[in-house]
Amino acid sequence: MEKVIEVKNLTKEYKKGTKAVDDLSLEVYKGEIVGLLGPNGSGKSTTINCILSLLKYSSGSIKVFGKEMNPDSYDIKSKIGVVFQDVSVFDELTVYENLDYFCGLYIKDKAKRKELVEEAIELVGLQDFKKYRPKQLSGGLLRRLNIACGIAHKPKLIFFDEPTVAVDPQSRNNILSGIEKLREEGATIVYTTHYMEEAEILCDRIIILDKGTVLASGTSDELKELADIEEKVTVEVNDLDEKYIAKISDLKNVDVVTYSGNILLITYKKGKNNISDMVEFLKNNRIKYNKIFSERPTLNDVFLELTGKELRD
Amino acid sequence: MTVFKTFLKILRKNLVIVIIFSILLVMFAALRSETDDKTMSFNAVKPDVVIINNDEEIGITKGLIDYIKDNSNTPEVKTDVDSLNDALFYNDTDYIIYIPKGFNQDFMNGNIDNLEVKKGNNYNASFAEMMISRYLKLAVNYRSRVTSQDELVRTIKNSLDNNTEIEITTKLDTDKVEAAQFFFDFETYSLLVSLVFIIGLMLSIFNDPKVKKRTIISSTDYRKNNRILLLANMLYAFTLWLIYLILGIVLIGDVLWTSNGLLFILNSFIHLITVTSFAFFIGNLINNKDSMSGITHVISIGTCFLCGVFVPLAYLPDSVIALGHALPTYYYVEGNSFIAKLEEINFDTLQPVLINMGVLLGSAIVFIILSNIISKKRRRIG
Repeated sequence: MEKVIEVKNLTKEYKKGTKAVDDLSLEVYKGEIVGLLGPNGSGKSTTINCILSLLKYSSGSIKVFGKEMNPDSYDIKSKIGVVFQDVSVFDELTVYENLDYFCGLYIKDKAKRKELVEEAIELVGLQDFKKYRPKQLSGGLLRRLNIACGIAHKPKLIFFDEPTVAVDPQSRNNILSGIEKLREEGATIVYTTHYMEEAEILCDRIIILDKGTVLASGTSDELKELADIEEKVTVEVNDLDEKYIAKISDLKNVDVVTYSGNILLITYKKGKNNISDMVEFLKNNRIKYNKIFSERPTLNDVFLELTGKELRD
Repeated sequence: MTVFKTFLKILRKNLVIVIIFSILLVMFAALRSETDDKTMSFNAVKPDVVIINNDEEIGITKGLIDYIKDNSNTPEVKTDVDSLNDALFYNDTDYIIYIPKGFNQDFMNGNIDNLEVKKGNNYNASFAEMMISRYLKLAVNYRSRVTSQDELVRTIKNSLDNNTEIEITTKLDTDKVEAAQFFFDFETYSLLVSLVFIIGLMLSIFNDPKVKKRTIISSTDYRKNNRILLLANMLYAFTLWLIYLILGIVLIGDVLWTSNGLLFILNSFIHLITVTSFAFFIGNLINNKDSMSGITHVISIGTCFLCGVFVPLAYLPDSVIALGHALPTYYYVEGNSFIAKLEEINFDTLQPVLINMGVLLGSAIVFIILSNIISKKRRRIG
């Protein structure tokens, strides 16, 4: 498969000795959506800024489309689009004028640019807001404009840096379906987020970062294998006696048991028939319960397993 | 061209403030021209002089009375002492001259001390006294050189007429030069507001870190974009200056084609360079478009007050002038006043003007260096 991004041993160290990125290596292949998942300060944005030559890095190498990336690599830059975390548009220009300006930084031909701007407006659903100024748009619409500005010139490689932060559900769905559509059109996408659900839904491959290093990478299922837990069973039960909790802890495959409020949470290590064994146990001990359900481990569990802390800490 | 066109789009949306301050310049300059026209009819403002003549109206007595009548108003006032005192008190007259009986003969005999006067406490009274004193001094000077009283009166009249002619010619030129000086001084205010606001706004908009990031990652050369932005700002500044110059030509007229006028234009152009570089400095320093309007007004009004644009330097207290010395515009305004007084153009007379122009250019260089330092620091993302 064709490598679109190849980062080797990237280190970004600030003057005070803080390492934002530490010996990080990653690869992104043509046509895939790769998620960079990690809590705030894990080095996601720094890595992207280094790839884009917005930041000077201390050591390592970065290749994009097979070529060394540097600030003057305009041929490479022409194939890249970036959707920044913060809305980056001119408040003084209308939606159309903003798109025309940012698309104009890549496409000089006026007629072609007009066509691309119209397409981008349609993709993010801003047809009715062309003459609006950014300050007249809601937060969600503003995010859509921000995305349109980053992808209007039809780039082959697109970076999305937490595009759904503080976005309403409708706009969030619109953004995610837009990204799917871009991939269908052949774009390679690097998507940073700290929302694990988004990464699971959207990404072909996920790279988990923490403290500037890659903790793990793979598909969602591959990563969940790393969690060393099979499933989590939740039981809604009132006034459970302490002796039963001890008994449950001794059951087969059970790793951790917690009881808080009226929620009993049992984490199982590898194994099968865990939920049916639990139902059997409750029945045999005549414990009345309201609900019982099982969940597969999440990426947060993976992160917890790898770092000992929650993704959103 | 994308940057240039966007510059124009944003300029168009913020042009109101430029238009307002340009109109202000035209209004004040036109108002000043009108005031000058009134000053031109200087002869109409004559002192009111009451002449109480007890002598025969012949010889030097007649000459003096005719001269007073030609150069002052002679109001009808009752000649009793109370009425005359009332007339002085209520400013119905500025000056009363009593010509005693035998004044003509006494004067020819060498005595002029028998003239009595009463005067009010105003400028017109002083002017009347100066006028009469001038006539009598000339009369004393010529008395021994002429053979008859008629010849004496005629000689005095010729001498006074000649002097008057020269004074009027000088007055006419001075007024026009002063009008030009006023225009170029006041232009500072409009130019400061229009340049600091627009250039500051443009720089803070285009250098907004978020927008800048998008520009840097694009396939357009960032330095080239910056150069286009710089050129667009400079072009805007020059165009505005040119428009103001054309307005000046329309309002002030042909005095701008004299040596003084051309020096005003040169001084103004050098000041434009300084103000433009200052605007770049402010734009790079502030980088906050929302506060640009307030900052612009504080800077413009403060500078214009401290540098003698609103109130002439001659009327400003020393403490204010001392503060003004720290600002380049002070040297521009002072340069304008030097130019206004220039009657002869040579290296010696031009020296103070050239020194002030040098200070302006030096300030421009300092502002450019400071702008570059700030701009380089801000260019780094992390």
